[in-house]
Amino acid sequence: MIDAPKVDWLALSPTLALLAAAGVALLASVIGPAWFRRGFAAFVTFGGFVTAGVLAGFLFDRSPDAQPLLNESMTRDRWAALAAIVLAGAGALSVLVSWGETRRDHAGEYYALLAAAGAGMVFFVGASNLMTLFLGLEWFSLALYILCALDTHRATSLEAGLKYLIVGSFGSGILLFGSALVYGATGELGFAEIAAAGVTDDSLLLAGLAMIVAGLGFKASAAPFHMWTPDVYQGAPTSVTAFMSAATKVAALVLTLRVLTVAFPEQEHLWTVAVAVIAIVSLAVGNIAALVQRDVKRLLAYSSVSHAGFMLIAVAANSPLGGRALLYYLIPYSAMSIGSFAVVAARERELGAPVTLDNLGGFLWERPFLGASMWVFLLGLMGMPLTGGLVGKFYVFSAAYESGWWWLVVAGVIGTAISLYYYLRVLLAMWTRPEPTALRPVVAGGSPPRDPLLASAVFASFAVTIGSFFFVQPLIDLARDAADSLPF
Amino acid sequence: MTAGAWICLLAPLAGAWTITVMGDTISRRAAAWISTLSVFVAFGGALATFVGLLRRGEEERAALTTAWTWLSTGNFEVGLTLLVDPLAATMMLIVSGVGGLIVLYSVGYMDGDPEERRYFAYMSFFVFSMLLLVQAGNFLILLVGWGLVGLASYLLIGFWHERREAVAAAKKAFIMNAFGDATMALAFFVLIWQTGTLELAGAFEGAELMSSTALNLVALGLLGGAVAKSAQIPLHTWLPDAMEGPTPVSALIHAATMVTAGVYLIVRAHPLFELAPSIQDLAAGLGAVTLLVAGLVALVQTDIKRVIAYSTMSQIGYMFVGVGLGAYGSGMFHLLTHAFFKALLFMAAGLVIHHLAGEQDIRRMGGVRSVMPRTTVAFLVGSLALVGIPPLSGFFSKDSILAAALASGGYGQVLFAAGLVGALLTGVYTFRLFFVVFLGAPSPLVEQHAQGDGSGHGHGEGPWTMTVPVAVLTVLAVVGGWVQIAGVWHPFGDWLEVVAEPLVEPSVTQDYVASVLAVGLGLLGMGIAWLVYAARKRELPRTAAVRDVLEHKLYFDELYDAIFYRPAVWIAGIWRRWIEEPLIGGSISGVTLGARRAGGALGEAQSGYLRSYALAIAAAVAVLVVVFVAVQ
Repeated sequence: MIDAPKVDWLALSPTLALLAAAGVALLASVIGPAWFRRGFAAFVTFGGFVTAGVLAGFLFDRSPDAQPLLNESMTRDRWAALAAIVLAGAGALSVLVSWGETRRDHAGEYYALLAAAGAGMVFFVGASNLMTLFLGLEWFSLALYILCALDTHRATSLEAGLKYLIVGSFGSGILLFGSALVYGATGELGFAEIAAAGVTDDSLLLAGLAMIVAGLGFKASAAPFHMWTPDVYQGAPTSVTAFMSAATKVAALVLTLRVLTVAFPEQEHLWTVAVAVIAIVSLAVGNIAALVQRDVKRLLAYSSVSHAGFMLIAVAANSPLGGRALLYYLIPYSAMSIGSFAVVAARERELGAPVTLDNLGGFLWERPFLGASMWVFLLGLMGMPLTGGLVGKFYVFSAAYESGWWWLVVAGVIGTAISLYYYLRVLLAMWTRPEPTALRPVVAGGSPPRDPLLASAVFASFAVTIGSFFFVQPLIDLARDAADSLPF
Repeated sequence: MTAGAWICLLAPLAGAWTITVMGDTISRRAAAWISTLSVFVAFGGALATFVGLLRRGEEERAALTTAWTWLSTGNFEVGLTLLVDPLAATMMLIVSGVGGLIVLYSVGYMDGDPEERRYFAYMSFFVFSMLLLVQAGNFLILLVGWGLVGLASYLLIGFWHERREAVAAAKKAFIMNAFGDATMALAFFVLIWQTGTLELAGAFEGAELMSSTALNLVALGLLGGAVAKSAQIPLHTWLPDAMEGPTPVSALIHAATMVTAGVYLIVRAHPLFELAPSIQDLAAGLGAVTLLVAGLVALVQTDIKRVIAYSTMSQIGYMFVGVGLGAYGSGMFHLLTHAFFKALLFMAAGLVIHHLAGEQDIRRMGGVRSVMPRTTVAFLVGSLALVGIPPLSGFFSKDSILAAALASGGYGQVLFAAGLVGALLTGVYTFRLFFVVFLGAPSPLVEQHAQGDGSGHGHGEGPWTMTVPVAVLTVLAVVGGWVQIAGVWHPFGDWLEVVAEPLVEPSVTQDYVASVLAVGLGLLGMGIAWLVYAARKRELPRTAAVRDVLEHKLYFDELYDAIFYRPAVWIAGIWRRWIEEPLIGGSISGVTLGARRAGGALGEAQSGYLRSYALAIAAAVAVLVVVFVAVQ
């Protein structure tokens, strides 16, 4: 008889809650009556994310010391728990943003897939074994591939889904190949065991490490593995983009730091430099390419590439302060990212057309609440005072400086300076009223219906963006406790 | 007790917030009353705090209350911390009490202005900022309040933004204050670097171990902030121009509260100044110079508000002399009485200006007494208090500063002499203003407005919202000084002693000598003014050169223009010609062009073809693998 491992159900509960939500929503959308599907699925998914968040909070509280789970294929620790809280928050906000999307078909499946992707991510951040890492990665990626292509009536959505699927499979393949090479070199799959195997300068291991870095960089949309990002972000339904931009980045970066510090401490001198270089390339590519964009979703996609660069600076620091900076920064970043895509979604729905800098004219005056919130999000992405973006950048830079990466700090500052240009262009576009002669009749006819759920998501993001500035200390303390569970 | 402090701080903020958010949905009058109410609620909070402090034993009259800690790394910790102690409570009472009266006065004064809501939102915001400044429990909050009052002052000076002079004055005030803010921030950086904390008590303790250079730098930086905010020489030129703002603003910000913040700062940070005695002496010296210069310039000004503004500078000069010599109680005492009588003078002047539909030139006024008898009494009381005639409030406070100067050795006696000359000048310029404006035959302008010209102005003395605050302040200007009578009783000094132990204790003889001399000179000044301006028995000496110098305010504006503005413009012109346009401009357009080209190139690489994406990823992976293996 096979020995069944002891199962710590509490540790798995956030994943299970989301998985259950996905199952219930999916069943309801198959067997429930048509009018019932959308509302029920959305409600269940929202509830799933909230439950997962609460359970993860509970888990955070109850896991002061890291413990292995399920034959050491997973870890129960605060690092994963805090990431799960952020992921659950991002998921819940995405449900609110999605509600206003008037979808003709697959409404129930949409929410089921969202919950499934969330479950995969929460599972993924707890992985402590190359096999569970890959499993989690594929789990949430598959759900996202479908979500991107779900607007079947739009060619761009199908294109986005297909591109993401093919390039994503390529990325997963690289990651899998890298894992195989590492296994070949060490004979181990567990992160801690790989480090304990004592293989330091084996070519197979190093090639595998390089491929793992590349595969995770792909998910975090770091350059030069970013090229799918603008196409997919632009083509996918905007609410999906909102979710991906925040949650995928959280999951990928959190696990990147974990796998690199736990499994490859001996190769530190290699991967820190590699991550630093990838960070600089991401900052350069993301910021420069964003300068010429006119489509706001595409512009924000490049901004997301550049932010991957910022956060990789914290990874490259490879220090407790870096871990703290990364987890702290992900909180306001997720809020600003979801919030800004939510505002884009609102504008898109009222125009019935993609949002560009040209049709954003006077948005601040037409929709003062959404416009002002968008200002705050963009100012936060710039790193202006009174938003968490400032504190996040400050912590990232101080972590890098403390680890001796002064040239990364310089690169980050230059990147920030460049980014002002395109963020300010969006701010200016929203501020400037179009010439009266240029006013065209409203495409969709009349003003759009109010969407209180989207507004509440925007408000929550706004509150987190501002609140993370004023309540830095509690958040930093949480991030510090979480980062303590990694071996630096 | 601390609850009172929080109510006091947050009520005006809530008022400003409500008016801003409600926008057009409330009437302009409602905005005015919300603002007034919010400031009076703050006064209630201040009173509660004051009573709470009184009930405590003398040594326990200080409480820190922290809403939350913003940042704490190691032993560096800052948060929203308020400090409630006798000094803070005194300032809270002055700011919210006098502030409440002035906001109430504004209800009448600003009636009919199309942008009343904005005005009252700014006023509440100012009171909040000022309270944040005086209640700050650490230097960071102090700096935030310091900056916010500067912002509020900028917004209110430039309130009538369609007037070019108002906008220019607002900018001037902001820039000169920003200079002070910067020196203050630098002082705090030195303080963090040396002591590792911005907590008041911790910084004072750590300062004792600092080198004298660092201490002097810190004190100098703080003094820079104080001098800029309190319009002392050499950073004083913004205050007269600031009179472009509405008169209640001048009364509140540029007489009673904000401009005295420098005095408060020196008292609050007195341990730092005491460790850098030369800087503290410098503060007293600057005060003495300012009180003389401002007094002289006030003699020839023709704008009613500018005369009072110069008088404000001069009186703050006295306060600087007081706190610079370590007579903290005397300096704060003069701050208190000055808040009463100077706000009174501004508001009485405001009644006249309001009556005359905005006219401020005293050469067109005269004989106002015949149409505004009660205002005349109020203005006379304010003037007598300003000159320091017993038993009005200014007498007690000014003489206690002069006595402290007399008791402070050789340097103090020099300052004492300056203060006496200042007392003479005060008598002259104050009563010149009074005689010219209120006595004599009514001028054509006054007669025209006596019957009312149908513009809504010129009926009687003003609406009750304006006259009641003036009446209250008249009473306060009379009795406000009785909380401290030399040689008889001194509860005010004892009250503040737990915060700042004075360095000088003048004897009763010194007190009376100072009083007799100061009152005598003040009366002499009034007599001169009477001879020249009321009885017209003496002609002014025709020394055109002196007059010219004074009318140009000792050429400070021209001097700054020549030293700072013109060279800056000249250098900027040269740089623009030889560096900016060819080098920077060229490189900027080059960089933008390059960046746009690079962006375009990246866009082209972003072909949309999956094969190129896959190729890019594969190439990057290959490079990574090769480098990893090769480096090893």
